[in-house]
Amino acid sequence: MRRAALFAVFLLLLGCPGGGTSPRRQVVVYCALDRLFAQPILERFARETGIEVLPKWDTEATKTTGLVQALRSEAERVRCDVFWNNEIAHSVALARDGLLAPYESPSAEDLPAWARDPERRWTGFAARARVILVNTEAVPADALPTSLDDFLDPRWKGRCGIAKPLFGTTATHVAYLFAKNAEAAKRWLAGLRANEVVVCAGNADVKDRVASGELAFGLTDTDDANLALRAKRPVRVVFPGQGPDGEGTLLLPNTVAVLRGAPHPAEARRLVDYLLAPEVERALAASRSAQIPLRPSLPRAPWIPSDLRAAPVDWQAVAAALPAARDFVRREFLRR
Amino acid sequence: MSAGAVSIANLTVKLGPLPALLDVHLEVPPGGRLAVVGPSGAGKTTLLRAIAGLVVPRAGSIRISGREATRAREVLLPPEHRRVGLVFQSLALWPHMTVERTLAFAGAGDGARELAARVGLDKRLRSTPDQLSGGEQQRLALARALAPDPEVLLLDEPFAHLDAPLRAELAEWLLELLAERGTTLLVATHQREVAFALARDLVVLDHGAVRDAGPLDALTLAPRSATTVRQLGLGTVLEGRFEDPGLRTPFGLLSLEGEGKARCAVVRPEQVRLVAPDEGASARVLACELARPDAREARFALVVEREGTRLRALSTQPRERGELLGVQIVGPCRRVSPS
Amino acid sequence: MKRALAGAAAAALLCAAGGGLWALEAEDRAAFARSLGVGALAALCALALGLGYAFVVARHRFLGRGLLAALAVGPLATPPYVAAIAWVDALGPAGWLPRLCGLSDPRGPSLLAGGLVYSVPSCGLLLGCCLFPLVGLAAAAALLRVPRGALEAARLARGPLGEHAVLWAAAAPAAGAAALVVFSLALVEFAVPQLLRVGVLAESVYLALAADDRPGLALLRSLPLLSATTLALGGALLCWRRPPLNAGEPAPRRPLGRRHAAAAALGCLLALAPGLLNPATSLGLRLWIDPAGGAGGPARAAHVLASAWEAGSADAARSVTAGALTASCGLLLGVAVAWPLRRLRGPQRLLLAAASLLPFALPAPLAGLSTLALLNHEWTAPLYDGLGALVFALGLRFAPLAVLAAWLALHRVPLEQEEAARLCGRHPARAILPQIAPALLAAWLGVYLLAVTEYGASALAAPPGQSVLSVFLVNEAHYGQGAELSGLCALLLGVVLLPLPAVGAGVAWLRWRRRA
Repeated sequence: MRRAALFAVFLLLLGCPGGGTSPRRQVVVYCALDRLFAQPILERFARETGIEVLPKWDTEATKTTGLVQALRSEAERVRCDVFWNNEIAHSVALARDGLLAPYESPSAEDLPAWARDPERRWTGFAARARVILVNTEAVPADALPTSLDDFLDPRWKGRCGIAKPLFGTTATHVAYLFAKNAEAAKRWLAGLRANEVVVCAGNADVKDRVASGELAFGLTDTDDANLALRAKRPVRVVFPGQGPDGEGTLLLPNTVAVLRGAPHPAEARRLVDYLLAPEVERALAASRSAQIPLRPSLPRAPWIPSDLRAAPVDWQAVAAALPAARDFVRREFLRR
Repeated sequence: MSAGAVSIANLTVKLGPLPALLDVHLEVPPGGRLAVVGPSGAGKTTLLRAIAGLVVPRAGSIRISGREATRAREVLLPPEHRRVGLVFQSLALWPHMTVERTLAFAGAGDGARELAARVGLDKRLRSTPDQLSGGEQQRLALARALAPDPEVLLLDEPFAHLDAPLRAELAEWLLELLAERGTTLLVATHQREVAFALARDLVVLDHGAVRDAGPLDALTLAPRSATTVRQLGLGTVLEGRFEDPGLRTPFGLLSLEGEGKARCAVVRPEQVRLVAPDEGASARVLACELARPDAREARFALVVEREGTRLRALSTQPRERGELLGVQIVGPCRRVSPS
Repeated sequence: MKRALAGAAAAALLCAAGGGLWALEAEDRAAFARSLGVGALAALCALALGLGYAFVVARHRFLGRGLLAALAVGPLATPPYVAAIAWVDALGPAGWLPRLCGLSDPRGPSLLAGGLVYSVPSCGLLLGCCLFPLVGLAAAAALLRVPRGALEAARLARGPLGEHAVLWAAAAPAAGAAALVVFSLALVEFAVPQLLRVGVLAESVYLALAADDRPGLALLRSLPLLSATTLALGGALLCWRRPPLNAGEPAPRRPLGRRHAAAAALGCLLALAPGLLNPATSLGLRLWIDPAGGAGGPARAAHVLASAWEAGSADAARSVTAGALTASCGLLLGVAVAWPLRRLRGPQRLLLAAASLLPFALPAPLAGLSTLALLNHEWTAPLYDGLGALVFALGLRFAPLAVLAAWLALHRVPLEQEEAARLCGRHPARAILPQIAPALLAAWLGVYLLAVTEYGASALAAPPGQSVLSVFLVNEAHYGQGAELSGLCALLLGVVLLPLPAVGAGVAWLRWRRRA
């Protein structure tokens, strides 16, 4: 009898508390944005709506892939309601594979068209920009790099860096270049190789190396750049493509989507509406990750130009170019 | 009433490529005391383990207290239901248990203290095996085997770790206890003193087969195999060529008891007479030791050698190693099987 | 037969490793070379530190020896990535040590940062320092079992040199086996190399999933790791020789003079420093001092710890629950599996050992994904949506440790003790399990420690709304050094050390009960 009771307690511990099958009002969100920033927003949503939020987090080490793999493996028995992605490429791929349900959120009406899926399976908001982080002690003020072509300048041979362009936002960036002009992108990558550009472990690594002076400048994201600025390191941020002839800076928005077959569709839509509201963009802009609101009217970090021009992007084309870009990077750029 | 009777028929056990026991037959009456002797690797331990149900035989059967306990490839009665106690050669004491706990765990229950007192461990109740001396460990192992009040007690080399006085004391106590309880005893040993001290009957094993069996006193007087002679230290087995009516050996022609041909005969030390070298078969002294300090005569045991064959003899006086002696073998010798 | 089988298995593994390497790209081969470098350096470092440490604490008697012996648990209880965070915090570009020593050049990379911290030797050294107590404890256990008689006989035959020869012969197999375990653990570690910017093959396995979304490539990249790890652990098993129980009265420790004792203690503390003192001081400084120039001191430390508690206490509680459940389930499974297999000898034994070691080489994300694939069904929904999935994933990775530990422990108990229990009408387990209880307890603690610090599979398997502390901490590490991170590190250390007082109290209670 005692053993049976112990066994029952053990089973209870293993199974408790159940997540998806409860009749309570709840919403399951798989969140790739860092918990530090996302958790307060989700908690506020729960407080305001009374809907219990069950978030599942990812780690930087798994680079969003963990959640995406989980979503794919759960396609037959969906547990997740909302996917909050901190980038866009995987959302486009999930939509292409039929895992996302269309939903036109009323909150998204004032968001730019380039950040929304034409079929409304995902919607972009609060973005990170791809920027050049420059060490001001290593680079004179009159020699600041202004575009990606400055990475090919022999003056900076071996002194500039990018993250390994096989994953994360750098992979998306290279895919974007491929979608725009594949031949030009290949030439640029070959030039990087010839100029002995340093390939770093990630964007945070690029930031660390530039901040310490190990590199003169490097390509990274605004959230990492913000950390260096906040730490009062001798760095400056350059937004490429902002000149008169420039076509704008690449912005990689967060994306939010409702899963096809979500167990709590009503709550899921409610959360999407909440996340796409201006308040969330404002909160993310004020956070340590200094996300850039896609609504021009909203305030942004002081060091981010208010008239920042975003590069026009066809995300379907970028997603389509991703395999070819990766293949080239692996075969040619990273070849020893 | 057959409680405690052990009956073994056609028992064959294979542990490796060779059989550890081969077609063994054995009968022990209730309350009987049997010693199993034989050289190392003869199968003594395997026999005890088979009786305890710890080894599954290839063929044959074992009956304990009238019940069929084991048959070919099948243990019918699990070890815990056989009412058998076993003292392992390694003792196999549980290192984490105290004396008291060991005996209580083994089934003595409230009688643990009394049992401990009977084996002289009443002052060591709180001690664990590593705190006991070799003799105390042996006594604890014995008490553990007796704790569940077995009908059959199996002892595997029981006094290996004990000195002679303790061995004698313990043997005396054990016999008293066995008589009181009517327990059957099987003891496997290669020490003839143990066999003589504890057993009434004897089985001689060699290479897994029974070479000799019978009452201990009868076998001592009339051994049938060379193994019995060697194991009980009854004399020297001489091999030779049969020349009717005797056996031609390096020590001369031996006369034999009874009729028939033979290849081996046993020469008891008492039959060896030492004379001047030219009066008998000349042999050289290999070793001489004071074997019977309490005897008036024939106090020294000798080993002499002739043409590579050794012979044990008794002498009234010490002899030098290498000394040349004459050897005469008097009286008829008993013929024995070579193995 | 046994040797032939071992040879065949080793040949098969080498072929698999060779095939895997051949099929990989040059970059992956270079990553594998770095992995081997990190593993070898870690093993060598652990061997050197561990043997010295073992000789000091197991063979000598001096004031504070017990404390030094107990401190060895510290580095083992510190997750290597926490030590690595502290390592960078101390020696990195903005580290306090270069700044303190004036070695940091504001206009360029600091000498220490550029030359030492972000390198294969640094990575190997750090892992070796974190894992050396494994070697130390194994060698010390072997040294403590050397019978007095063996030492005295050696002394009589060959003098002090003979004594040392006997001691080395006793310690070497255990130390070698433990060093091979360290090699294996360092080989599959990727969080520390990632933090120290060393591209190893374990990270490439992750990238195959992250960048390419190709589980097949991840598996292919796992092959050389799998082979090398299994070979190393197989080697560890083969050279693990333990004297039987009751081999004789162990040799007593020798007293050490004051100077020698001070030198020995200093040496031990230096060995412990990177794995224990470094996180302690570095995290301590972070908690205590506000880098932004604000008020430091106890108030700040208390504030940071309170914030970490508020943010991570729920996750910490889940970590403890999941860790304890994984360790308990793993141990039950370990005993259940090892019990019927305990009598195996020869080739079967080797095969079982190899099979139980394979999960060590299973990359964490693959374990997590396998859990999702295996448990995401209607009939397993309660497990999938509760902590069961997490416990399953952690068990997949670490329960084999418990099986192996239980099996090795059972293997050491003589068969006759079990038979004696049966003849007394008792279940053998009642006589045997208490004997191996210390080994089982150690296995429980080991699995618990690994489970609560694991994050690769936990991130995938933890159900929504039930994250664990290790995932939280690694997530936070993305934002570099900060008080929040230090607070979470301190919280994780608390979680890791939580069972130790409970175990200590349990042992004390058992002793008291025995005395009573």
